[in-house]
Amino acid sequence: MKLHNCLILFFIALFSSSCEKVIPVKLDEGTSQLTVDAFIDSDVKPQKIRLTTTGGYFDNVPNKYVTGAIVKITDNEGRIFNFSESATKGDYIWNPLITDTLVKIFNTYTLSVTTAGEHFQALSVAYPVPKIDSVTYLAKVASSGINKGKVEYTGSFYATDIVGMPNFYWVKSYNNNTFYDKPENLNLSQDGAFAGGGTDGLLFISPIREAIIPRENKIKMNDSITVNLYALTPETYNFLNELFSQTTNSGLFATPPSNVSTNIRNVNPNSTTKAIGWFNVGQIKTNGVRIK
Amino acid sequence: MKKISILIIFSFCFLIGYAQEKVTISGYLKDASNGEVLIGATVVATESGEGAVANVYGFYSLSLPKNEYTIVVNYIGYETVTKKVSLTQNVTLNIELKESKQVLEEVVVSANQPDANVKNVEMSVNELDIKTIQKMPAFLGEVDVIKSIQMLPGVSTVGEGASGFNVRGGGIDQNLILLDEAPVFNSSHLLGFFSVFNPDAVKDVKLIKGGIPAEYGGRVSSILDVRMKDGNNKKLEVNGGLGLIFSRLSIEAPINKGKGSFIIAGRRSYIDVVAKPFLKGDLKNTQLNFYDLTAKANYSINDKNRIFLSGYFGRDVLGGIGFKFNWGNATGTLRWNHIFGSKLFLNTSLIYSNYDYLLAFGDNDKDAFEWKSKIITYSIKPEFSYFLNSKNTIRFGLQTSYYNFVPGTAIATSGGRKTNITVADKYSLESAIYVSNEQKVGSFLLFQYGLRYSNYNYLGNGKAYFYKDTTAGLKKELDYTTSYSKNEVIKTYFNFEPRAAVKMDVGFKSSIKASYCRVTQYLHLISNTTASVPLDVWTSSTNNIKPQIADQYALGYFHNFGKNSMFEASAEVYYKQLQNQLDYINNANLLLNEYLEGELLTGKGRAYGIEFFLKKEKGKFNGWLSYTLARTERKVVGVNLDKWFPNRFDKLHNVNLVTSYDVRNRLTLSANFAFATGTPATFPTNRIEVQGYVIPHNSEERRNNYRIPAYHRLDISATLKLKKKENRKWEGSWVFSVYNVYNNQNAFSVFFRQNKDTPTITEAVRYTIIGAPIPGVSFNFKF
Repeated sequence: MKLHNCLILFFIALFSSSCEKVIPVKLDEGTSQLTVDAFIDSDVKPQKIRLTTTGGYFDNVPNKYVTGAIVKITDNEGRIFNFSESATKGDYIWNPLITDTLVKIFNTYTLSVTTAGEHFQALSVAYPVPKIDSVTYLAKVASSGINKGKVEYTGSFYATDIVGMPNFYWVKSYNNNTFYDKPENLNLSQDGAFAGGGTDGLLFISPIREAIIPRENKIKMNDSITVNLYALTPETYNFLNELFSQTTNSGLFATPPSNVSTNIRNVNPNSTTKAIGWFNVGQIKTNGVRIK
Repeated sequence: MKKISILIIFSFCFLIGYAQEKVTISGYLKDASNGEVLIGATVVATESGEGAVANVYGFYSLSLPKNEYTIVVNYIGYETVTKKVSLTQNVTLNIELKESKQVLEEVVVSANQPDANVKNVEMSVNELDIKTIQKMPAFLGEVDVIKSIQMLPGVSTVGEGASGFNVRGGGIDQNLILLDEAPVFNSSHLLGFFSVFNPDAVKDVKLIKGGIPAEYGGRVSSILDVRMKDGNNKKLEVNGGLGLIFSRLSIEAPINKGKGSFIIAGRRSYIDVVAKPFLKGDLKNTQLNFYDLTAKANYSINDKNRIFLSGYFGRDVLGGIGFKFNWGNATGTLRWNHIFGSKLFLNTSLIYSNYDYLLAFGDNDKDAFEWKSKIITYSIKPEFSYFLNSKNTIRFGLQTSYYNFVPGTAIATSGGRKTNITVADKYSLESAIYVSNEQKVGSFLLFQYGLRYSNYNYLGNGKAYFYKDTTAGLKKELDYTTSYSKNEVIKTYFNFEPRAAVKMDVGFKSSIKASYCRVTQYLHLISNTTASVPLDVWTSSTNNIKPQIADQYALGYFHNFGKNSMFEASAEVYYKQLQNQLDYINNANLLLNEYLEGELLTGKGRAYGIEFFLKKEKGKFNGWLSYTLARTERKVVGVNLDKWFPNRFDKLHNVNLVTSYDVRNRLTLSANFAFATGTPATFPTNRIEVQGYVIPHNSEERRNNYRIPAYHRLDISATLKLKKKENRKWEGSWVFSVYNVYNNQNAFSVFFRQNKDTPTITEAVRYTIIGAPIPGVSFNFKF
């Protein structure tokens, strides 16, 4: 999917006469639904789950938060982690003790959210990630683009896919602890390569290694580059691929827009109230470098 | 079905029984200046009023009682030839027609000139000869076959730059595109801006939208039959053109004193070469071009035997540093025309076609990705035309094609280690036999009826995948697989495809026509993008993918009026039902996916509409006006709450105006205007926020719930011929054109995104492909 989209971007860039213009469009607003945003990792730091409700597409204000919900995660060992409302409305937080982590590899986790009389659940398995051997960078005078004539940095990280079962990763990169949060920078990998499989135990391939720093970046001397390798379940990997497709779906070869999936289920199958969003638990490993 | 077959066989026996006592006049009809055969030229015996039409090889055969006859041969744009013939035995009469000196003036026609569009049994057919195409204003001054077809009633496109065309609400893969009988699997150059057909080498283009005759099959929407020129067999002829985007050159010459001839035509674009001085750094190595070579040779061994060899080879190349992408078709056709006696005409074709692409990343051996895909066809096709008598023409024949599908041979190399992520090849054999008869009954009825039987075998070696049932719309889980050895049959399909058409004259200048046809399609293009991508993969019908079947009913009224029938008018209604239409689950992965079949959905389709067409072919001012009112819809379990929804190429209104005016002998002005309803699109109703991303969401799960703005565009052009000079051997002409004259920002699509600077703000974006008036100039020459 991702490869396909790279190609499309390339094509679009070639058509100089093509143009994009923001236009007003009147859309009907659909039913508002509970959205669960629960990505839990193994870092020894507060873990956050955010509850909101969907807004009209053009509301252009953050979606409304949900307060007063009961949120907890349990695992197959019977451990219970209660998430409590924080000062930021809509955020539910679990604070670890000094070395405690919620994540134990290969444990199964159940998220449970109760709000407005409805009870929702979601499942996830915590998968492992390999260690990041190093994060590197290269300085070069740019011959084109916004940094033309100036030093521009490209980066890479080195890690090898875990041998055995298929592994799914989200490579999250940060410049001075600011996450590269544009949809087109979403960097996902299956077994160290793009989707498809068959690359078990491979060193992460160069297009994924080098995607940690976007082209035409604004990195300067003394900046820090941080890479997080975060484990996904196969379902989460699909979900994030869908998210990527749906948020970068434009141009000549756009696909018909379709809704992203959800793993949040109403425990009562007869209830008409549905929720959307995603729950994933996974190991995370970090490495970084400072530009010198 | 069996009953129908028996009936047909019986009627043939009966027909043959009374076909005695007559003699036959037969031969070829050709252009006197270059020996090109005249497809569709008519031969009429004035005394009896009986006539015949030349087939695609220019051959005609007319059986008449022994007598003296005045034979009149007619072809539009040519001078009528009249010959006295005393028929006492079978006669071979080859006739050459001279092009009318003043093509543009009204042609003098005899009273017997048939108004082809009214008199033929054919309906839902549009024929364009290359001269008409060359007059139309063209993008960047370069005429194009497929762009011209898009101006016809019932034909549309999802937008500029999109490959292919949509006929009566069908997908682009539902058109059988034939170049000298070889199937062309991707008809586009430079995405959809130009087609693979070099106008210098094209003689005739015929689009069959309905009432498809029994000799054609394999695609459910239409047949686009492109015939190449044979080449000038009288003298050396060179044609060429210099344009902004590409240049063309073609050479035609006789072989062995006119017993044969050949044509070689080539084109090469040079956008990248022109752009090179303006590109800097890495971009200097950008490659973006296409080229093609079209060639054909023919040789008449004697009056009874003629052979043809034609071929096409073309590629689009796109590349830069560490990036390579190219695609193209190669086709080849070897044909043998043989005449048994004077009534039975046989054409046998051996056909080869290959569409392939290559995509590669990486500029060193350690980190690379290379992916190749192709579809290869080998075909044999003997076809007989039996000109039984002046009332009946029987056609029968068969076709067998062997397909080799290569969905993807892909190698990923990382850190020097190679990994093969190839998806296995597929093989299949498609065969068909057909028989049809065109029968005149009385003086005002003409029937065409036939039957095609098609058979499809999905063959090994390969694996058949079996999937578990699941909720419609979700990915199906693999149950088990079964392996098959080479040429072992994995799955067989067969279909009877009845075809029928009737024409009834209403007065001298009008007729009513009706037709029915059932067509089966065994090959499918896997694509869910708005415009087809060169990367889209053709696939076979398998144990999971069933063949598509279409039933089409059409009814039309045809009327000619004005002096010498200068106006041709028609109105046609059609209704089409389609089975086994492919659709895709949400977020399906279509490329390099071994388990693709688990992500496919099937549904049914329907398309209906009315097409109005008014054409003026004669006189200084000519052109056509077409209006189509149409719907095309789909119903797929698992999509749009299982309800009917409009297809993505649905356009309710479609108006096209094509005009040209010969101001003086040397100057022609032309203009095109097109208007169409905006295509449907799925728009979000809500927004979801997850991990800081704002995702569009359609809470009602509706497909194609909105429409993008309507499309309209005006193009103009002027063609100026150079003054003729006594001592100059060559002729030249300039073509100046402007595409999208009044700069309408036509939406190709409307999409939704987060604002680049403030990601919490969401916006709707209109995407326009041609966002400016595009001027063009080209210079054409001939000697």
